[in-house]
Amino acid sequence: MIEINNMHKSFYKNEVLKGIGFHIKKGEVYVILGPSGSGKSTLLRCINFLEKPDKGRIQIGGLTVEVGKTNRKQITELRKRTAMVFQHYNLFRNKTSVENVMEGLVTAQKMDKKEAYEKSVSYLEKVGLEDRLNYYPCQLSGGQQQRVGIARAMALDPGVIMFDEPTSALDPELVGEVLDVMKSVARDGRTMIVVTHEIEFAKEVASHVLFMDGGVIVEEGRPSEVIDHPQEDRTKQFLSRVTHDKLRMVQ
Amino acid sequence: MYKKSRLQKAVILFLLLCTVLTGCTSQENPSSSNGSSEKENKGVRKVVVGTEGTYQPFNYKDEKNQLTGYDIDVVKEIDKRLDDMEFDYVAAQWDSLFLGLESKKYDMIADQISKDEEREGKYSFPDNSYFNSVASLIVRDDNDIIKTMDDLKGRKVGVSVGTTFAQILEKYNEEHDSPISIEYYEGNISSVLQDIEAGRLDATINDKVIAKEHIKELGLKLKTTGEPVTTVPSYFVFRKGSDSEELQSEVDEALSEMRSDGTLSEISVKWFGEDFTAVEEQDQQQAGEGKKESVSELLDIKYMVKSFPEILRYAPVTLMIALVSMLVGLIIGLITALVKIYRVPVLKWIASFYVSFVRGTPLLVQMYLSYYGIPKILGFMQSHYQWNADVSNIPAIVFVYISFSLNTGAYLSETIRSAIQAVDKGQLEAAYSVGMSRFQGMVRIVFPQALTIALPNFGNSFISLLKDTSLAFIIAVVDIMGQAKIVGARSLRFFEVYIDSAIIYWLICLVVGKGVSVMEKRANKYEGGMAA
Repeated sequence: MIEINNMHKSFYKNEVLKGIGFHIKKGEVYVILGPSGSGKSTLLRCINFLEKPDKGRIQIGGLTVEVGKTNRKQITELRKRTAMVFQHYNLFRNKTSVENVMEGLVTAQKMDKKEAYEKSVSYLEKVGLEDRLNYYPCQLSGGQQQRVGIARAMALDPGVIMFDEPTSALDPELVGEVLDVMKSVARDGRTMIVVTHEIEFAKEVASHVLFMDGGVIVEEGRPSEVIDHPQEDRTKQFLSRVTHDKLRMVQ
Repeated sequence: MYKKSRLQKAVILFLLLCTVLTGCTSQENPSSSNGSSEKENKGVRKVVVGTEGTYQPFNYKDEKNQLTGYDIDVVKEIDKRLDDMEFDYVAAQWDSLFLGLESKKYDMIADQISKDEEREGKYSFPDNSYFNSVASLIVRDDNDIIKTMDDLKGRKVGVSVGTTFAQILEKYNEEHDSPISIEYYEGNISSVLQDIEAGRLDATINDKVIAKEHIKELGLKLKTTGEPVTTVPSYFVFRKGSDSEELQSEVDEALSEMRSDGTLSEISVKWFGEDFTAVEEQDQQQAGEGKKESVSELLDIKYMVKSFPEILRYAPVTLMIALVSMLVGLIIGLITALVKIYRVPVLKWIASFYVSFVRGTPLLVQMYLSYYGIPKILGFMQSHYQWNADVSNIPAIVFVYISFSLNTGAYLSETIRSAIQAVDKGQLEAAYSVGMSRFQGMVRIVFPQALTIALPNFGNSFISLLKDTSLAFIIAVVDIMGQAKIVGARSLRFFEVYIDSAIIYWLICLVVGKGVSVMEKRANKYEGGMAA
């Protein structure tokens, strides 16, 4: 369903992605773990061309995008087949919750306005915000904003939804509501790529875990393998640090 | 002392404040400005003479930047004859001359001023004139139709605001049901002459001597035509009141002497090769009966109220200029801002040059460049590429629109650029991520947010623009300020009409300011805190 091949990206002389490749089947949930600066977010942003990769091939559904041979139409097509949930939500500040969800449907997908409205309302119901339809982002809490962001991504019916550290900017007490919504998205059978530090979420929801460091995939496999029985030293180190931090926070 | 109304007091206070404030910046006053006339210094009284200094050959600045000309020479001769007085010369604009005379900056005006009832009501004229101006029609070389005033019917006739020649035309229109369309100009005759040559005007009336001098100097294809329209005696002008009486009578006496011993006509012959100083009977008569006993007040509230609606009538012109320039300026500003943000090759150089040029040159210069430059370029195109556009038929207001739009656009482009750049980058990324194109993201997401950020600045720009439009009269477009000058020149009550126009501008700005803050509130609905 989604195949990434040999993805490279450098910022000036700093190589952030050194040939990443993986294959995701429909309905799978890929969780990408790794220390900060390991290139996780850049990888996501390269997949929908928010950053232009230097090299590589992206296949989604029937669409193949060969980096270096792209045109504007292809990139728009690629973006229509993906959706993204941002760390800082990035809701359209000048639009209400329901308008945020409708915007892509009406403007990009040319859906009929009434139909788009109904669809948007139903997705906002799914994330538990049916009573916040006409609120502007600044009138919502961080957790609510991120739930709108998730509804906005789901409503587009994309081939894959990418989550870029969706809970990192949230107050701890708001993390739970967003993770719950993400779990329901997974149960919906959506294909997801999630960059996160939430190990418990990965354990519970992921069908596959990638551990990235220094621009390469260090280790990958099912959560029971990578998280519970890591093989590589770097993975072990990272996991112990993260769980340690988590414990300290809970205390 | 009689009791003054509250309004009058307030206005006087306001005026004093203005005088103090502007006094700090006015430069062209060599002697100490406060009441120099009253101070007697070692028995020699200092007299400050105000003149335009741009009215060749009557008064102008020579190569050494010294004021010279016929008017100056006559005063100098008077200076020679009056041992107890010393004369100093200051150049200022036409309307400032009269304001300066009232506020005692100047003690007399030597600027080819003619006499009429209203002027006599306000200022004091001596018995002796010192020049007879021969008013003549001026047309293009190839014009053989216009010979008399009656030939001006249905024609466009340009004239400097407030001059005797404007009065001649106004009087003719009053008596003949307004057949002449009068175009008012600010100040110098040369712009009127140039516009006749360019075909924007059909004719003008001016002093024969002056006109010939200018036509020669500027190399224009114009001529004076027909019989003299009239002859108008010119006078020195003094302030009313006892402090000025002595000066006036001494000057008058000296003029009498100069006339009888032939010095006056000598000076005339020296400058013009002809004697223009002979007194005609009619003039004497006029001088005798015209004296009215009205003491000039500092402020004539009645006149202010009377002329207010006359000036207010031109508020739509001001608003129109401001609105059109703002809208066109917004479009130009947006394009320029986008060119700069996206660093479009080649265009970005042009954009930088444009913004730098507009911000680095005075608006006044830009207006002149637009008004005189564009027709020149179009004319060139016409002759070289056989274009069929009639340049002379473009109304002056179009050039006002052009220069103000370009000026506003340059300033707004910087506001717009910073506003667009102040919108969070994540907003456009989010638009991309839902499949929108850059254009869609810009128009639907970024611009509305940038507008909210820029709105207070837009409001300020619009208010400055509104006030800048008061320059429009420079190129003969009559707006609030232009009408104030026209009305003021008729009665020489400049104070009153300028206060009128100040009030009108102020009111407009208050309304605009209110409107902008309402718009800001509405645009800010999604920026505000938690609403219920």
